[in-house]
Order: sequence, then structure tokens, then C-alpha cells
Amino acid sequence: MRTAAALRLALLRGSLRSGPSALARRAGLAVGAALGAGLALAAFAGLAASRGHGALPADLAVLVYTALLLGWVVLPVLTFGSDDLLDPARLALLPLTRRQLLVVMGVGALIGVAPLATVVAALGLVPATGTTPAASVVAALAAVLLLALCVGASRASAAALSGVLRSRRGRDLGVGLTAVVALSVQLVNPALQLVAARSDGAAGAVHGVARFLRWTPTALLATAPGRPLGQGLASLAAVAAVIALVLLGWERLVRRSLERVDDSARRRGRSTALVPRRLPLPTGRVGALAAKDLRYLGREPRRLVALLTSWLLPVLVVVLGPVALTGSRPSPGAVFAVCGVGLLTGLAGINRFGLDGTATWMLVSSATDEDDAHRDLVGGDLANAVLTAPFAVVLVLALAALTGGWVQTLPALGLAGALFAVGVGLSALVAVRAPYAVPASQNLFSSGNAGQGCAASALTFVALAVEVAICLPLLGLLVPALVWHSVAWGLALLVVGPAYGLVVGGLLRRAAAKRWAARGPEVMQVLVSARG
Amino acid sequence: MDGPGAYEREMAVQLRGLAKRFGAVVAVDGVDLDVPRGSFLGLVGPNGAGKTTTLAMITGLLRPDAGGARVDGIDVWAQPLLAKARMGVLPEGLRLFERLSGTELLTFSGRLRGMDAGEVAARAAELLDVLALADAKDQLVVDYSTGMRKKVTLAAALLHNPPVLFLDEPFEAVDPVSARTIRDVLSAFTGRGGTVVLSSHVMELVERLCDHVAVMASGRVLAAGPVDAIRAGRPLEEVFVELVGGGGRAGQGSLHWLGSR
Repeated sequence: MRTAAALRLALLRGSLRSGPSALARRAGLAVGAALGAGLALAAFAGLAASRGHGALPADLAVLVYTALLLGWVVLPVLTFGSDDLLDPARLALLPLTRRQLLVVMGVGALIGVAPLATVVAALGLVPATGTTPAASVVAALAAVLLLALCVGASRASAAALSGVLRSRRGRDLGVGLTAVVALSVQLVNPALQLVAARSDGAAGAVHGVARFLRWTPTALLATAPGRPLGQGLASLAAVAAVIALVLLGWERLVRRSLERVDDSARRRGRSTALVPRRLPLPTGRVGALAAKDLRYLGREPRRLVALLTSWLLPVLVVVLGPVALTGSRPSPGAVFAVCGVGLLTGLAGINRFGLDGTATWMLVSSATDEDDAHRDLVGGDLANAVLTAPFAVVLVLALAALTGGWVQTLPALGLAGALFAVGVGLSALVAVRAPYAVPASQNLFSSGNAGQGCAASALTFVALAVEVAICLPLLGLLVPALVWHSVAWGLALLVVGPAYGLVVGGLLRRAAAKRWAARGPEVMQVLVSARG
Repeated sequence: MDGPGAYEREMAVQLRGLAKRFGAVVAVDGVDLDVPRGSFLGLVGPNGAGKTTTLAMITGLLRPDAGGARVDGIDVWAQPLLAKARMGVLPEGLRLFERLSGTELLTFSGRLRGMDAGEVAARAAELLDVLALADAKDQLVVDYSTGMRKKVTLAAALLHNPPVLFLDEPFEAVDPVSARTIRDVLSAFTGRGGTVVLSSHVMELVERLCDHVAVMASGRVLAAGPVDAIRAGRPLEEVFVELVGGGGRAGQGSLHWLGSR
């Protein structure tokens, strides 16, 4: 037991001290600790404040307990690999019996920010429902049992998925899941607005959810103090039995994961041509690079996540923002969300060489003249355009149909095209002049070291501002089109905007190609020295 | 460097005073080396001798602090883009475009060099077959083992049939059967006039495969020339340990407890 606790603490210390990412880890721990403490205290205070409001304390406790359990089960899956004590296979070579192994992993799970925050939040049940001394004791027992349930369920799910998560496909899946979770958080606010609009208010909604969950183990724990003593103790006993089953299942899963060999990489892939046959991509270097980027989209989830973010973020802000804030339908101006898409996707290649990492040597060592260097930059931009242009058109039509903003479609598309074309040229220049390495990590939230990440996002903001500034002259066409609702001015912007963007962006890309042809080794050195 | 004379034209690779330091560490400390056309040179040296840094500078991937390199008569750092068309490279410690399958990676590599699509497809299939990667051609390279990655990178280096090959540790983690195949492929390549420079720390391999050898340590070339001239009848390993120094501390009392019962 003591050795296990010491091992856990040593691992924690080691992760904070060693390696180039120590600073980021320390910052991560500090942020995590602050966030955990904040959430835990908020949950505790919320539960305590609900005391005496009829069924509300128990209902609220059901939600808090269920959320805690979900967090324990889901988070380790998303951050798999960051905790050395989570994966039984990591400990397989230590001279431990299986029982000792379980103790090490279990004790490891009980030490840290998360378990402490869980206990604090769970103990909120005592002030919320502890109307008698007996009920207080039952509530405290329920809080302890919740922690046991969380630890057991979280370790069991990690052990069950350990094979999947250790494989490359599984890690890719984790990145995708993380993005889904992050994006769905955006939907919480509109959902709350809808709930608040119900006649019986938030308390009614909470009660509805709590009723739905009433036979789950977490609900049994949360409602135990409110029941007659005998019934309360019986539900605690029932949950204890569930915990025993979960722990037994965990033991089985650990045994299975220790004995099984990971063979996920052995599966044969499907035979594919590099260049998709249906796409009329140019042959040669440009086509090869464009095809590579298109193929990567489906195979490297980070790129898909980045693309979807720059597609959906403007839509969320422009369309769902007003719905969430005022509950009103979006106005015809929402069609201009497509300009946000053009703005963001234009800069998608701002760190294209950093994203490819040291594999960039294949470009450096095969470029034979400055035109080849130019082709390197065109290829990625072409793939970006092939993906974004159809999306932009569909988006504009959908938003126009939703809001009736048909007059806005032409100038919106024209401006979006200009922003995009300027953006890709600008991003090429930044990519060549200020590349930075991105670790090939499975975790979305770790991006190099913290200081570098800040500098990179500052650079992105500057680039965004420059992109907008270059397109300011187009206001001369946009303003008349909007003021007079004029199709002719809109059409003019649709033609002039992209043409203007192509010219300016093309000049920027030419300048970038000149530097790229000369600076290949310097870019390589940045990528190589930041590796690891 | 001046334009190539008669001697220069005979040399596939010429290095003059090549040097590189990383911060306080001198990685390569003035390397001079001539590699005649059609020869098979083994660059040997202990870990940290500067082999990888030297190869990176010859292949135009790392800019030297001083000195120059000439490949196939072209000054690598005066005309880097032109020089790179003359070489095939297998670097050490650099990634590939790993989310492509083996076949796709070779197609990609060939098209980067503007090769004809049909020619690329035919050569890629043949290379994958010879290097025993045919079964894995549709797997993503990210799922390849270290040895398989070495082989697919070698295939990419050979694809455009360059006159000079630079291979950094090509046999590392490669199974014996494939290693045999690679040896045969490379020998045939030099037999037809191609030049190979490879780095390794396996002496037996260099002794069996190479006709020229250069011994590096601490960023310098300690000896270079035809293998037979360098070893003068002795095993290459003996000459190497003598040149590099620091051999055989293990026999003289340290680690005395190891193996005693």
C-alpha cells in the first residue's frame, strides 16, 4: 500500500520535473487543480444551498453524482497514456502479483486532484440532505461509496479499452471523441435556454432528469439520505454490491489485458491510389501534395478536427449565438458567417510544415528549382480550396434558405473568396518564415510547450488582422451592395473579390516560395530541434 | 569551390572542411573526404561521432557552419536544388508522411520528382516486391515496424535512380533476409557505376559490403581510403577500436562483481 502510494507520488513528481514539457505539465496541473477545486467547491456550495427546497437537494445530488461518475469514466479514455498507472500493460513487466498490481492501480487512482475534488463535491450531500444525524451519516457513507464506484468504474473501463486505446487507431479515435465533447459543450448554452423556456423552469427539468435516472447506482446513493433509515442503508448495500461486481470485473479485465497481444497494426489496409480518381487534380508535385493532404484528412484526426472547427466555429458564433442569447431567429446577415469560414480556413496552412513535422525532408530533398518550392505551397492550398469551396456554397445556400437572406449570398461569397485567397497566400509566407514544431501527440490539448503555443496563437491573430486589412478595399463594393440591396454590386463583388484575393495571395505565395526554396534547411532545423 | 577538373569529375562526393556546431557542442569538426565514382563507402564511427550530421549536410538538409560539399560534381550549398536531384537519401531520425500506405508513399515520392505516373507505378511495385513489402503495401506506414520503415525509405531513395545514394544506418532493425536483399540491390547498383555512402557501426557489415571506408570519431575523419589499405590484413574492428581509442576498460577490473556468485 505504502509502496503503491509512494510510486504514485514519485510518478507525479517525475512528470513535473523531467522533459521539455515539464513547464506545460506544471501549468496543466495548476490549471487542473484550480479547475478541480473550483468545480468541487461550486458543487458542494450548490448542494448545500439547495437544503430545504423540497425535492431539489436529492434531484440535484443525483445529477452531480451522475456527472462525477461520467467524468471518471470518460476522462481517462480521452487522456489515456498520460497516466502511467491507468494502463495495466504499462505495469506488466514489474515483478508484481495481480493482486499487488490491482492495489497499485487502485491506490494510484485515489491520490491526486480528481479524487480529492470528487470527495469534496460528493460530501455536499451531507449539508444538502442531512436533516437528522442518521441521515448525515448515511450521506457521508454515500459520498465515500461514490468515490469507490468512480474509481472502480473508471479503472474497469480503462482496462477494458486498454487494448484499443494503446493502438494507433484507438488513439486517433480518442482525438476525435475529444473534439466531439469540446464541440458539444458549445451546444450546452442553447440547450439550457430551451430548458429555461419550459413552463416549470429549471427545477422541473432537473426533477425530470433525476426521475429518469432514479434506478442508477449514483441515484440510489444520492437519494439514500432522504429515505427512511432502513431503506437508505439497503440502497447503500445494493450499491456496495454493484461496486464489488465492478471491481471483480476490473480484475478480470486486467488479467485479459495482460495476456492479450496487441495486433491491431497487422490488419491489412484497403488498396488505394494516392490521387483519388474522381478528382481532376493536376499531375506532378502539386497533385501529389494536394492528394496527400486530402488523404490525411480522413487518416489524421487532428486535421479533420481543425478543419471542422474552422468550418463550424463561425456558424456557431453567428447563427447559434443569437439563438442562445436572445432566443430569436438569426437575421439575414447570418449569411456572412461564410466570411468567417473563409477567414479561418484561409489560415489553415499557417503551420503546414510544422504539422508535417520532420517528414518535410521529403519535400526539401526533392525540390529541384524555385518552381518546385512554389508547387509545394500551391498543393496544400489546392486541397484546402477543393474542400472549402463546396462547403462555402452549401453553407451560404442553407443560411439564405433559413434566414431569407438571398440578396446577401453574392457579396458574402465574394468576400469569403477574397479572404480565403488572401489567407492561403499569407499563411504560406508565415509557414515558411515562422514554422514551429507540433508534437505527434494523441492529446489535442498539448501543443508543444506553453510559451511556443502562445507565440503561435499571437502570430495567428496578427495574420487574421492582416488578412482582414488587405481585404478592406473591398468594402467599396460591399457597402453599396448592402445599402441598396443591389444584385449588380453583389455580383461585382463575387467576381472582383476572389480575383483580387488570387492576385494578392498569389504575390504573397510567390514571395513565400522564394524563401522556401532557400530556407528549406533552416525550416528543417526548427522541426528537428523541437522534436521529442 | 572552383569548377570541376579531371580529378573532381572522377569523384562522386567531395567534402572540404565541413563543420557544424550545435550551441557549445562541436558535432562535425572539419571533415575532408573524397569518394570515387562507383565506390561503396562505409562511414563508421561510435555513437555521437558526427556521422548523421555529416550526411545531413551533404544531402542539403542541414546547413553547414563552414566548408563545402560536392555531389556528382555539383556544389551542394551553392546550387542545392540542382545537387539534390542527383542523390537518393535515407535519413536517420526523420519521419515520413506516415499516414500514407507504402504504395502511396512511393507514388507521392515519385510525383514530387515529376516522374511519369506509369513509370512510378511500375518501379514502386517492383521495389516493394524486391524489398518484401508487397504484403504491407496497403498498410499505412505509421503501422510499419522500424525495419519496414527503413526499407520503404530506401525504396523511395532508389525510385528516381539517382547516381549517388546516401544511406544513414540502412540496416538498423532490418531482418537478416531483407538485409541480404538490400546488400544485393546495393552491390548491383555500384556494379553499374552508382555510388553508395552508408553509415553504420556494424564492422562486419562494412567489411563485407564496402570497398572504401572512412572512420569518424568526435566530428573528425581519422582514416579514410580503400578497406584493404586501411585494415592492412587485420580485422577492421581491431583497426577501428585502435583508431577510436577507449577500448577494453571492461577487462581491467571495473564491473568486477558482474557474473560472480
